[in-house]
Amino acid sequence: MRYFASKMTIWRSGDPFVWLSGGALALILLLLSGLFVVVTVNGFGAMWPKRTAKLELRSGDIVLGEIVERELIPPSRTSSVEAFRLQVKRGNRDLSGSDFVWLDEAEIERISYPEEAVVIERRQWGNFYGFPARLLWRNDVVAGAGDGSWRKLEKLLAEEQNIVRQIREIERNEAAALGYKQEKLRIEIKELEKRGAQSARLASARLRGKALQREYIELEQRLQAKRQLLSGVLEMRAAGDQLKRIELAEIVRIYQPNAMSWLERLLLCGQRIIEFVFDDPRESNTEGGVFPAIFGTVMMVLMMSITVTPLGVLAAIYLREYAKQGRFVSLVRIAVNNLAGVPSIVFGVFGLGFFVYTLGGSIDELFFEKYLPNPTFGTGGILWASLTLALLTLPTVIVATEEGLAAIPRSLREASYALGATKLETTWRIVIPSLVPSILTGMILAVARAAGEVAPLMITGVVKLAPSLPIDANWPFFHFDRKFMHLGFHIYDVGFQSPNVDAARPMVFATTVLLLLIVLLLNLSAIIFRARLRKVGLSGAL
Amino acid sequence: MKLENTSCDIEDEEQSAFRLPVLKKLLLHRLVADRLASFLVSLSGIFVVLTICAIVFVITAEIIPLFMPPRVTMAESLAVGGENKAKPSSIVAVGVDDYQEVVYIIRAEGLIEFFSLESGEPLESVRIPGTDLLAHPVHVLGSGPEYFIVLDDGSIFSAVISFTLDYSGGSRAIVPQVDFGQPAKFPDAAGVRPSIAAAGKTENGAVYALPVGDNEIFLLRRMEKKSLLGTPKVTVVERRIELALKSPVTKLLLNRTGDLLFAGSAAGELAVINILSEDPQSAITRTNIGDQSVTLLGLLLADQTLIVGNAAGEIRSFFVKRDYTTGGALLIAHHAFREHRAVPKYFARSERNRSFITADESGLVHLHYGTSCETLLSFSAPSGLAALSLAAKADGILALSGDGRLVRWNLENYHPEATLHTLFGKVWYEGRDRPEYVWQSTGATDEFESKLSLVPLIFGTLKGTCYALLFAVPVAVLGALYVSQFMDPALRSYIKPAVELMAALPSVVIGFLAGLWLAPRVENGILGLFLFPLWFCAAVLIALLFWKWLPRKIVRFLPPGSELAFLMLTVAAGVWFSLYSGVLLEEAVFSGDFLGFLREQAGAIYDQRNSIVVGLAMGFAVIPLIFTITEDCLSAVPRNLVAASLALGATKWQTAARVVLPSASPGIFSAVMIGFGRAVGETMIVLMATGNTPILDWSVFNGFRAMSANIAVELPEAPHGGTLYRVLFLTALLLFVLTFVINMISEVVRQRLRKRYQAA
Repeated sequence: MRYFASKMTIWRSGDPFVWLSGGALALILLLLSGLFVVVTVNGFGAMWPKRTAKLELRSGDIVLGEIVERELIPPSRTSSVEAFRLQVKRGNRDLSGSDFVWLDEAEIERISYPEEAVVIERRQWGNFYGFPARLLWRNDVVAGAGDGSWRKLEKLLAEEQNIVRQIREIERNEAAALGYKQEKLRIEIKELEKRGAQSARLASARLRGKALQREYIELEQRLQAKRQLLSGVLEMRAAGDQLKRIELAEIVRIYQPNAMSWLERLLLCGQRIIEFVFDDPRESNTEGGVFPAIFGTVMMVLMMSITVTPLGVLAAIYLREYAKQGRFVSLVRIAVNNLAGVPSIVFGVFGLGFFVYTLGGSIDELFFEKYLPNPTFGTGGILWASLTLALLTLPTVIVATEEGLAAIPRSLREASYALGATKLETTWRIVIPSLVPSILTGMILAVARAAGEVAPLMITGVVKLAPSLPIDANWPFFHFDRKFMHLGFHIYDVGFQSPNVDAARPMVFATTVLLLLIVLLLNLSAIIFRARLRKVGLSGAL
Repeated sequence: MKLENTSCDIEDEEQSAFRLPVLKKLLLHRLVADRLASFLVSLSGIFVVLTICAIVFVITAEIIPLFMPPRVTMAESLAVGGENKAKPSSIVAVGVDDYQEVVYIIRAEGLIEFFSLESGEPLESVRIPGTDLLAHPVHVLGSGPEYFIVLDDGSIFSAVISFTLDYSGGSRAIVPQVDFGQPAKFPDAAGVRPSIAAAGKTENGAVYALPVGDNEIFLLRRMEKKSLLGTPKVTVVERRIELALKSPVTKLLLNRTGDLLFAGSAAGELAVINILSEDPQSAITRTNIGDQSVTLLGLLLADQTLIVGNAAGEIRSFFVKRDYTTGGALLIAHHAFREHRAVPKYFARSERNRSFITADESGLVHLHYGTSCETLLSFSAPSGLAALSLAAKADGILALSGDGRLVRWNLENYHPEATLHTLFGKVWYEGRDRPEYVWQSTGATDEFESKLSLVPLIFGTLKGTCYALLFAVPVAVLGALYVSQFMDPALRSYIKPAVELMAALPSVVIGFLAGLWLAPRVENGILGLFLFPLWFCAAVLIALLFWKWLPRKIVRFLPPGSELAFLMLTVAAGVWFSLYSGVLLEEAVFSGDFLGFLREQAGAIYDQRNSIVVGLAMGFAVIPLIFTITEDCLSAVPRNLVAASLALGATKWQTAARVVLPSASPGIFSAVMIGFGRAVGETMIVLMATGNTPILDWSVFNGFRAMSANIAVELPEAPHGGTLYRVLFLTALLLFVLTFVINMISEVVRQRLRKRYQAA
């Protein structure tokens, strides 16, 4: 009876409801931490070299690869007996057609982790799993299977990778620059022909074209000579005993995961992270790095901040310091607040309609007529995308700056006026210096918002694979009309538009970790900034 | 830049400021700088205001052309009589090239003549083969650019008029060309009526239908088989079909694939026959449309709608529905368009969309649109009509007027497929059984008709938003209540930024996790998910009881916030238990296959990316927003209210539920509204976590297509200035207005609340 009564008091005290609301908060925090755990584990898991398993099946087949996942076989197919199956990444896409295979555990005889198993990351066709057989150089056998061959392989591989790097450097810099010049010249000649200009200029342009052509042939010969040097071939034995010749130039990395120590693994993981951040993507974005996407994101965000900060700060100063406080200003303030709630895709639509087609179309007609009907600025590009995002983040900057302006005590301004300073002098000397932290906060928040925003970019100039970066060595160095890659869009594109989603998943998770890191660090710094600012602002007011 | 310069100037002159003339100059200097700066600042302020207006303005400007009524303006009028000026009636067909620069006429005497429209100069004249010796007139079937010519001796062949562009002379010249096909010949028979014959092309040849007597059709099918040697093998099949109508045939029409023959009679009967079928006689469908003689037959683009005009001036449309059991086709009455006052005789269709024009002898021309059932405009040719054609891009009408002049009108009819009715109402599309709301903007062929109902998209947006709020509102509001009323203040300063950080998560990350990580897991644990609310309450109660059971001494030594940590543990356990019990329940009740049960017993199809997944993901995205605003409002409730309630002996919960919550309810309402606004506009999550199928179905087990995701998917592919482009702008405007209004309401509510608190 007493026990029951005590239960009743618990009920009447309302504690269950208090705890229920606490449970809601706990759920929110759980979801949030769950998201971070999932993203981090998967993202770093993508970089960590996994052990390579050798699975011997009852049928006699042998599968070599990484075990990715173990899951319950849907019970409808088998009887009620619980059975599991494994998803194995066996690679060797050129031999077997697909990277992944599902194997029922019941079919597997034995799983072992042979030390001599080798994983090769290739430039094409994805990973190769197998055992080394022979190393050839110019068709001569340099080494057979054994310990000595490994060291020779490493040496040869390092040499060839060096050459490959040189070739890529030439292709990326000199060949691209030549191509750019040729394209410019082609347009110029076309323009001259159309205008029926003096034959002297036309002739000189054509002469230059010939010179460029010669240069191009020369470059091609140099490249050819370099390519001739690449003649190492590694013969590999796949799990199914097929022999496969892999050119050393095709190899990105080669390692024996089962023979590696923890330290070596950590080192490899670090190498992969460096490759991920600083390299170009391979295999339709499912492998390699995301450097162009990072570059595009950073550049777009920079261009956006350069536009949005002065505009937003000036607007905020207008609203607080200059405009007559009345119906109009409060209306504007409400409109600005509401602008922050307008869906980002609407800004994208505006960007497409106004920046791309109206503004860009007019620019094309005025300055780039010779390229028409191919649009220069009349199509999506990094300039239009960053202007669109500048508009999108304008309210963020205005609100943050206004907040800062409100925190500056009136007495400071009045003191300045009392000393005879004009409004401009007061604003410039007194207000703005104490405003800088607020402006920075607003900017950081704007940058964080812009870095994670994808929808408006999809219609104003982001692409899955941009042929060249918006900044390069060709005059005029900044190419604001170019399309660009973006981390957020990269996630969407590789995760949802890629033909080989299973193979792309690790890359998507890694990109997600990167994007989250950028956005969260920015936000965290803004939050800390603001918290300190409030303290300082408060003491200043006193 | 300006600001910097002026400030430097002042600094330089400060030392010498005591000398009076300099001071004066300095004052002026400073004054000018000050004015200039305030002008600049005001300018930028006004610029921001203008930008906001520009968003509405630009988007609206792209939408307005959608609803502009079509216009027709007379462009040129040209006398083409030549030596035959006295006999304009000898012209049997007229046409114009793609650029509307060259016109042609076909004369009954067997001449095809081309004229420049600008100068009126004759360009070229081509004689139809086999006509020079005949005094009898030729009959022309079909419409441009592919005609069929019937001669009185029974020979019939095609005449294709084409235009090529020639740049060799330095400027663009349009060169007309006529290609005549291989002739076929009808056998001589009494009572043939070549003037109403019909012709059509099949895959490997042509089909001709010639009425003989009142009710009999003579069919001629010419097939060419390409052989390896180059000389095609020609076979001709002849056939006679008895139409068995009660009155004589007045009109015949073959569709473009040459398999369906439509016939109209003097007593208003319609007949459809599949002439390629084995036994066409048995597959005739007949209908009656009043008792007036059929004077006009026409097919719209894609040949799925038949337009019929009769002597009473009525214009009606029928859907042609293939009947695959008999091989024939059914005619389903669709709509009656605006009537003509005189007998409608001329018909021309657009090759772009479902618009068509009909005209009568008095010169009245109607422009109709088949799908929207609207007659878009009517105008009159001043002196009657004798022939009519529509330019290839449907941007011009060419007619032969009663006084023998060629008249061309410019036609501006850009977006007939988008009207308020087709965008928001049910529309009966070709090939469907009933009027429906459909969004299907692009198809595989040119003949595809865009179906642009916004209803499924608006529905999808609302559906996603509803499920998201269903999850987010209780969790966020309860969580905010706990933080603001029951939590240790020291801990609060850590929790709030954490939730703010959650608001900063890019939606593409949430969407990606929802689509690729969460969706397959939800599919496996769907029952567990349904059981979770129960387990959640159970876990919380057990946690409470355990906490009460703990001796006070221990509780006192625990750091603040350990309740919350403990709650997190139990809630996590609740998640595990609900998943496990879900599996058990599935085994016990649904024999281990809930989705199969769902499919077979309830007929519900389970999509992996469905509304549950979106609800969870978008709810997750909205929670921090609702949480933050609610928490702000709850914390802003004056402390004296709370203190008064507690002093009167109310428990903490009673105070929270009966004092704090009611007085902050407007704020909570505005928080929910803002969350609603965010969910309505959310793009990436709905794009990635649903299948994006535009369906009208409230089921949680399938997806939807939201307006925002639809814009993101379709706008990059939509041609600039096209109907789809403008309709997508319209959806953007809808989104803008919707969110703007919602935000405005919540803003006003919040401001009022703030004032009330200040007064208190």
